[in-house]
Amino acid sequence: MNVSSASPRADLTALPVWLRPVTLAVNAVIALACLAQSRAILALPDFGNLGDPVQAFAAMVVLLPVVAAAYFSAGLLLRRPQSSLLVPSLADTRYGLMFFYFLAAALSFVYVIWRSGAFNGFEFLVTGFMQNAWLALVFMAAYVIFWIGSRADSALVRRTGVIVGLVGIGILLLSANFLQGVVDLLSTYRDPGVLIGTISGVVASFLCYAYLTRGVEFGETPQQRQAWQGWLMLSPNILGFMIFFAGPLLLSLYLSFTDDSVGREPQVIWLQNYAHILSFEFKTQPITEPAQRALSFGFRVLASFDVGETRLVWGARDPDFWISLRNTIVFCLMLLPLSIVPALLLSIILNTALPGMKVYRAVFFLPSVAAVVGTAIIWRWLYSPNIGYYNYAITSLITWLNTTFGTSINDPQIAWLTDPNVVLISIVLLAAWQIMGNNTVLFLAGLQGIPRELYEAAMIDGANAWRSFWNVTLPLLRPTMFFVVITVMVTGLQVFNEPYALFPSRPIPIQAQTSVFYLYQQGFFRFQFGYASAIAWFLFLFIFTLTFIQFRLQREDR
Amino acid sequence: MRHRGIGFYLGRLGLYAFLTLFAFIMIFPFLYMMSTSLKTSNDVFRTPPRLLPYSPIERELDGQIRPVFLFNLDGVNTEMYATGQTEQFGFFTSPENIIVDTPRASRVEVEFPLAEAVETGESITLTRADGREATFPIYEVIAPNGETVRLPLAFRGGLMRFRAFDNPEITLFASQRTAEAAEFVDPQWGNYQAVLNLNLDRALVNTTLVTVGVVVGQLITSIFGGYAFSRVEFKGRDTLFLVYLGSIMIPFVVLIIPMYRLMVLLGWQNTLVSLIVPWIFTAYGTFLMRQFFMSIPKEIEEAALMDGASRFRILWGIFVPLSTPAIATLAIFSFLYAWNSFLWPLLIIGEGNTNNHVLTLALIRLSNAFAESPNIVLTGAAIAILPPMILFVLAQRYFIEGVASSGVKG
Repeated sequence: MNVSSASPRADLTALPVWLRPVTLAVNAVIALACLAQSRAILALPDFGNLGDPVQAFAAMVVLLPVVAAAYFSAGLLLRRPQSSLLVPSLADTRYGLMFFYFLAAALSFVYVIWRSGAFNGFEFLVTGFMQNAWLALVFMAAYVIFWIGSRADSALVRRTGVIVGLVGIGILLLSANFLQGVVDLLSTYRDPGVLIGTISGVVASFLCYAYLTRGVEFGETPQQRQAWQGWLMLSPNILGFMIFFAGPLLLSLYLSFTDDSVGREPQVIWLQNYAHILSFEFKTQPITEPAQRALSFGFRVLASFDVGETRLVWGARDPDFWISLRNTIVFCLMLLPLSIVPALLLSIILNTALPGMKVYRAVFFLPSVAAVVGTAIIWRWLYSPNIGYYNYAITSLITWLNTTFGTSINDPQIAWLTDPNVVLISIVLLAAWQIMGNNTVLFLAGLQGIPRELYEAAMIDGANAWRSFWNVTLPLLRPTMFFVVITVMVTGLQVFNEPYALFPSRPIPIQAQTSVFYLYQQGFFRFQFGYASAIAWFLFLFIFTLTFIQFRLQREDR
Repeated sequence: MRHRGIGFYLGRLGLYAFLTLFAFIMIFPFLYMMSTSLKTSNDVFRTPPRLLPYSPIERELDGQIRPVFLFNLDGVNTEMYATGQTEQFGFFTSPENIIVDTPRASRVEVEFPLAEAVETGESITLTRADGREATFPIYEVIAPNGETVRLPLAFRGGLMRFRAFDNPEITLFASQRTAEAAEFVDPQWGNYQAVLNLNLDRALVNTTLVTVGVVVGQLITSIFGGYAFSRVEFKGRDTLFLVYLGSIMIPFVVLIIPMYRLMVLLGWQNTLVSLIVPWIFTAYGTFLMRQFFMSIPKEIEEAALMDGASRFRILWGIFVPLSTPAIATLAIFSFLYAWNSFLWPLLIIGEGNTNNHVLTLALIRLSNAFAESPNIVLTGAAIAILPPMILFVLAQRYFIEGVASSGVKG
C-alpha cells in the first residue's frame, strides 16, 4: 500500500477513549485466531488434494493478518509522527487499519454466505420462477411502464414501473420459498463457523467505519481521502481478480509442475510434463521396416518420410498433442483468409453511401450473436450426407452444369463430418461464416475513419478504383487489419466449441481435434490435471509468442 | 448532371446481387433452423429438402382416414387414395435406352402388368462396365397409344392401385414412392412446447437467471472500477490498471484446470452460482467503462465536488446517466458472453445434472438423445438462438457500435 507521509496535525485527544483498547484487543484476537488457523491448515491430512506446497502456502497466507495486526498495534501504541520500517505513523496506522478491517469484514461476510449455503439459493429461484412463469409478463410490463415513463419524462410513471418490478421480485422470492429460506439460513447459525463469521464481520465493519469517519482526528489529507475512496471502489474487482484470476493462475503454474491427477496428492515433478510434451526422436531405418519399430519404448510415430531406400521417422511421446496443434494451426491459416477477405470486400461495398447498407450490415452480423453450439448443431444437419442442404446444393449445381454445358463433372458427395480430409474444412467453414460479420463491422469502422479527401485527392491524381484501394485504403486500414488478424488468430487458436458440437460421434475424428479439445480430453476424461495444465501453459506461450511477433512486425512497418 | 450509362446501373445491380448472395449465405442456416423446427418428423427426411413445413392432406372415405394423392388425369388434378392392392409391373424400353449398370435408372417407355405381357422367348444381351453380361428378355406389350410393340424388359417392380375419392370407377397404377402426396403448409408450433417439456424450460430459466446475474454483476463492478481507474487519483493506480489490463492477454484455457479445482474446493460443482460469481469481475468491462468515463469533461465533476457531493453520488447521479451508450454496449457484450458460454458450464455442470443445465448444454444433450430427429434438435437450437437475435434486432445500434469501438481502440 502506498500511503503518503503522516500529517503532523493529528489530534488524538478528540478520539473516543474506547477506540484504542478495543482495536488492540480485536487485533490480538485476530492474530491468535489466525495463528490457530494456520496451525490447523498445516495439520490437515490433505488440502483439497492440492499437495504440500499449496498447503504450506495457505498456512503462510493466513499468517499475513498476524503480521498486519502486530504492525498496526505497534503504530497505535507508539504514536510515531513518521513511519518507519517496523512502526507506522498514526495517520498510516488509521489508514492501514481501515483496509485491514474492510478486508476482514468483506471476507467474513463472503465466508458466512458461502458457509450457510445461501449461494445455492439460485436453484430455488429458478424453481420458483418455473412455478410462476407468468411472472415473466410482470417483469416485461414493469419494463414497458418504466420505458414509457422515461420517454414521457414522468418520474411518477417510472416509479410505478420500478414498483411493479419490485412486486414481481417479491412474488418470485415468496414463491421460491424465500421465508423458508430465511428460516433455514437462521438455523445454520447452529454451525459455529457461521456464527463466528458473522460476529467477526460485524465487529470488523464497525471498526472499519469507526476509523473511516475519524479522518479529521488523525489528520487525513485530501489525497488520502481520495485514495481510500478509490481503493474502496476497486475492492470488488481486486478481490475477484485475486480469487478468480491471480490465484488460479498461480495454481495453474504450480499444477503444471506436478503429476496432479484425480484422487491422490500431487507430487512436484518440475519440468517433466513439459519434457513429455517436447520429447521427440528422429530415427532412420530401411524402408521395408514398419516405422514404429525404429522408435524407443514410449514413443509413437508422429510422421515418417521416405527418402530413397531409407525412411526418416519422427517420433514423439505425445504425438496426439502435436497432431492437435497442427490441426489448430492449419485451422487458423484457413480461417484467416476465409473470414477476412470476404469481410474486407463486403465492408468496402457497405462503406458506399448506397441505400439499404445498414440492413445488409445487420444481416451479416447476425451469426455473430448466436451461440456457437447452436450454429454448429444447425450446420451438423446442413452437412448431413443424405438430407443436408449443402450436398443437395452441390448436386443440383453439378447436375445443372452437366445438363446445360454437357460437361461430365462427378458429384463428389462430400462426407463433411466423417471424411478425414474434409472434417477440418467443415469446422473452418462454420467458424468463418460465424465471425465474418464481426470482421465486416470492424473493417467498416476502420474504413469510416479514412478521410474522404484522400480518395478525392487520389481521384484528381488520376487513380482508378483499384489503385486507390491499393494505395489509400489498404495502407490506412493497417491498424484495423492488424487488430482483426490478432483477434481472429487468438480466438482461432482456442477453438473448442465448434469441434465439440459439430461431431455427433465420440471420439471425434482425430483430424478435427484442436489443441483446446485435446487439453479438455486430457484434463476431464483422463483426469491428468498436471499434464493438462502444462499443455495449457504451452498453448498460452505459443499464442503469446505469435501475438508478440505480430506486434513487432506492426511496429517495424510504421 | 452527369449522364449515367447502362454500365453504371449494371454495376449497381452487381453490387446488390453480391451483397444479397452473401446475405443469403449468412441467413440461410437460420432459415433452415426455423423451417425444420416447424416440421413433422416425417417431413424432415424428405428429399429433395424443402424450406416450408408440410403435412399430408387427409380425407375420410368409408369411415377411414386416408392420405390424399394427386394425379394429373387429362389435365385435371384428381384426388386419389392408395387402395393397398399392388401388382407386378414390367418396365419396358428400347435397347438403346437401357442403362446396363443401373437398369432402374433407364428411361421407361412402357409400363405394363407382367401377367398380361407376352414373352417372345427372344432377348438381348448387353455388356456391363465390369465386363459381365446382362440379359434382357423381350416381351410383347401394349403401348399407351394402343399399338402392340416388342420391347426388352429393363426391370420389374410392384405398383400400387390408386382410386379416385369422388369416382370409384377411375383407377390407375403408380409407384407409391413417387406418387405426389397432396400436402398443405402446416407449421408445427407444438414442437416448441414439446421441446420445452424436455427440461428445456428449466434450462431456459437457468440461462436467463445466470445471464441476468452476470450482466448486473459485471455492470456494477465495471462501473465502480472504471470510475476509480479514470477519475480517482491515488498512488499505484496506473500500475494496478496495467496489471489488470494485462489479464486480458491471458487466455481462458490457462485457467480451466485451476478454476475447476477451485470450484471443487468451494463445493460449487454442479451449481448455478459457479456460472455467475466467477464471471462478474471483468477486466474488459472495467477497461471499457474507464475509456468512456475518460471522455466525460472534468469540469462537470469538479463543480459537483465543490458543492460537497460525495464520489458515489457523482458516479450515480452524473456519470452513469451520461454513459448510457457505453453501459448498453457492455451489457450487451456480457449478455452474449453469458448466454452463449459453453466450455465453463460443460466443465462445471457436465452432461449429468440436467436440472442445472444451461441452454447450450441442454442443446448438446438434446442433439445426442434425438440424433434422428432434426426437427426436435433444431427447435432446441431455435430456443437457444432466438433470444439474443431478438435482442440484436431491438438494440442493433449498440451491438454494432460496441464491436466497432473495440476495433478502433485496438
